[in-house]
Amino acid sequence: MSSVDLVVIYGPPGVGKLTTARELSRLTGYKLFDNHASIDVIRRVFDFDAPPFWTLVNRLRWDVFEQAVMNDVSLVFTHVYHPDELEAVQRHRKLVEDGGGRVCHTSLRCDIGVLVERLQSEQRAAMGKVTSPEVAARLRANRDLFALIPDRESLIIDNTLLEPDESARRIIEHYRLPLLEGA
Amino acid sequence: VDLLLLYGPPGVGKLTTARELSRLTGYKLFDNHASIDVIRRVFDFKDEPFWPLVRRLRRDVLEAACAHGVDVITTGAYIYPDDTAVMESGFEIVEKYSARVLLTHLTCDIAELERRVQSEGRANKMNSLETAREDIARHDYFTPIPGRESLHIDNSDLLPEDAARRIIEHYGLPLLEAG
Repeated sequence: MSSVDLVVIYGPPGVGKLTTARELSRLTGYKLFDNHASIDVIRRVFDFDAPPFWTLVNRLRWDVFEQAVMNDVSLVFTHVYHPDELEAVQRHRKLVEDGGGRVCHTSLRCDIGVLVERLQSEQRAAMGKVTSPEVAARLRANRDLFALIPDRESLIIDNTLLEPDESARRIIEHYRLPLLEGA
Repeated sequence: VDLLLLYGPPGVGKLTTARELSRLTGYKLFDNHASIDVIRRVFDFKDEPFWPLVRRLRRDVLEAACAHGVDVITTGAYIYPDDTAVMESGFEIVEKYSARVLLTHLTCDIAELERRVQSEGRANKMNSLETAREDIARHDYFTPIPGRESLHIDNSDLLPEDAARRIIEHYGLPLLEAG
């Protein structure tokens, strides 16, 4: 049986999932497999709204998680959770848990005003991520993007006043993740 | 639907030519590094699951492209005869969807290849002369895929755009407007 961790950091676009995940990966040595890793490769060929898009993304995630569990590779994964995706989340969780691994959920959130500011930051545009004010408006209206994943504990971190490094250390402490030497 | 494969030795200019081809035709570019880079996030080349995951991702994406009528250009370093079975099984999968598999074998002379291998812009790729020499000595990249027609292009003296235009002409590919 495996003893791997799948650390899942989820929350709305712009909240700082990737930055926090990078810190966490740096501190623990866990591999970073953020949501854009799988999305960007499939976008080479398909648009978001093409029928095979999410099927391919989820299949790739499944394959990578499966091999990670089988080969004792712990991962940090990020994604925007929306209740519509519960089924995929449950399938991935079952895969890890059935293999003896542990899923560590962290719900990242911050003040709406701060979120909108972060959404408009420059770095994001350069990475081809969501920036438009339209999305920001939708975020204000749609609180579902702050929904918690059901059936398992989530560590909730409000990072309005936190540096990514501090959020990462909270996750490490809460789930007792191993620190790399010198970190 | 068309599936174009550009194959040949590392450094010959598969990706550069494929980019030109994609720009001129509008075909989607799914080069070999697209799949390699995402799996490398988690696994190293030498890890057992590495190549099976890469191959599976390639097959899934190319199969879905053919099934949904999306023309794609892909690249790969085919080694004769070791890679023949894997290649052939990939072709058979996409041909189930009546895709045209259009092969182009890119080569150039060895001196030019050695020069290109050391060129800039090959971050993350094989870029030391010594490694490349050893690799080329051990693997046969110059024999074409057997049992199928390949357009052979020696691009020693060609610009990527010229090579791309030869492929377009040979296979009668559509040009984008202003291409």
